[in-house]
Amino acid sequence: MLHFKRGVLPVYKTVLRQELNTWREELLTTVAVPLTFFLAFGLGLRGYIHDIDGVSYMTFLAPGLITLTMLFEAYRNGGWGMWLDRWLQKMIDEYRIKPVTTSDIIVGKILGGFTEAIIKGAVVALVLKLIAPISFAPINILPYLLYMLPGSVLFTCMGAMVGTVCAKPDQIAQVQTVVITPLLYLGGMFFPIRVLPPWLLPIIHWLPTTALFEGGRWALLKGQIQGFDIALLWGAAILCFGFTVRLFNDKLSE
Amino acid sequence: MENTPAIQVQALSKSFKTLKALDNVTFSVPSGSVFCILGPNGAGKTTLLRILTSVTQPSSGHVKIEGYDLAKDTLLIRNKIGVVAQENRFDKYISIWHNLTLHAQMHGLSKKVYEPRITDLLKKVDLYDRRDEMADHLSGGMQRRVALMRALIHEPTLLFLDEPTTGLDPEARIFIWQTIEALKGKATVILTTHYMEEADRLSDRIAMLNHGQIVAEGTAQSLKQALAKLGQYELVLLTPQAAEIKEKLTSLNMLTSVQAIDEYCLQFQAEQPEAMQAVLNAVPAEQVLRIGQSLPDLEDVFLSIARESRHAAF
Repeated sequence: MLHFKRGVLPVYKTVLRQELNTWREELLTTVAVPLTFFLAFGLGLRGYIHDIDGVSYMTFLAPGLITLTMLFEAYRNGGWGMWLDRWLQKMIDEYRIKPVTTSDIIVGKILGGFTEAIIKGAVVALVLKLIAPISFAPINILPYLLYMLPGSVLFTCMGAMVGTVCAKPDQIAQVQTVVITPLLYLGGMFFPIRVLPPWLLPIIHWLPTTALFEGGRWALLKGQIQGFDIALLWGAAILCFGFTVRLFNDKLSE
Repeated sequence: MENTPAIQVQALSKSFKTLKALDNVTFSVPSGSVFCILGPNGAGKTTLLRILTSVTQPSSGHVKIEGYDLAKDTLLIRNKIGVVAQENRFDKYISIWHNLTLHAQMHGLSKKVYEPRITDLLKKVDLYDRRDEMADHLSGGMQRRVALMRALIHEPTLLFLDEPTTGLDPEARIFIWQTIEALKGKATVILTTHYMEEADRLSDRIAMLNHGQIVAEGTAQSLKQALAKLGQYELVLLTPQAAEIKEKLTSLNMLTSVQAIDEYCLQFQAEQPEAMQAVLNAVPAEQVLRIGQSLPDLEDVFLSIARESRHAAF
């Protein structure tokens, strides 16, 4: 049973408060990566790449950069946030002497990481809207969120699992390099996935990141929703959420 | 539950892979008392405290806190306890004030209740004006004082302090001692330490833990008396002739040890009654101010017990 008021909510508010207290540094690091990609690929390669599926390469790229920010921040908040509290600050031990359950703690942290990811995605969207020729109907944000909500939960949970298990910070970075980065880059952020070799497509098709980048792009630009993508993402997010709560409970009872 | 012990521990054991951190530990703590768990580094004190505060699961055994089963009524018990851990556990990315309000909220206190309490507690440690600073801006001693105040916000009936004065300056140490003394009778305090002076000053009862086992338990006085029976005596002279008398006593060849504490005072160990008679014959009566059994300090007790348990182990 969850204790929302005295368990989930205080942990959730603390995650957000941590970010609020460091918002200047956070803003800079949040915007730096997508902006660099936009300048390097969007502006640098635009002369060499023709329109893709009826839109310019810059427009094609922009939703992917917003999605990248959300997913990357979700993983970062889940992973580093958990690692910091479990292994360095020992705040998880401090929470565990309060009258709350371990499920309250992990749910609060996942929700916190998820909220931050959504906020940071919105910040990058605003910046890109100012500098890029990206236009979409405001109503398209709703179908786009149908993709991004489970996507952010999924990546926050993946981060939280890594932060729960890995005692050393370099292990989190290793998982990021070996697992997260390929997942992100193979999902069609920079290119349409149909250009990949045919033998790779069945695998790529089942990656949640493909649903997030490909599906999310057309949801934002054209308001399109693919039922398979949505089912895949929500299914993966729910499974991963349940598994993260279970893993956290198991690890903390050792 | 007036007469229910604050804590009942029955046959508690904890193993980490091949290491047995706690081995069949049994004791009980009367309500309202200060109970000290004394032991060297690695004795199992922190593991015991982590189990009593429900952070770590025991491998076997039972714990009851104020009559409630720790394994079943965990959340209810957590509402009754306050804990100051060995390390200063603060969220370094939020302010001191928010660290404290977080604790209060997680104990289900309303803003109307916790705000004046936190204000009072921070004023008590002269840190109210620094409430908006991050916790790691404070010195270790200040952080420890705030940690103690945090543990008191929800007015616990049981307070667990894990080596609360380790590494602190005398001023911070005395503050913590005074706070514990003020709690006597109002709350039960479980204190782990490796400072004998601290245990002697603060505790009503002491359990000595070594290699995961309780090797002795009792009041500081009873533990000292138990060792005093081994025949430790003190001789206080009227004139500064301790060195001279020491030579005389050593030459008797009947005493286990003879030690001059200063120019007027000697300590010796006489395990047979005839040895004592020989001492009285050797020292002129007009030079003696006082002679009697000397009570060892807790450190002597602990070292003696640790030595015995080490011999038993080999």
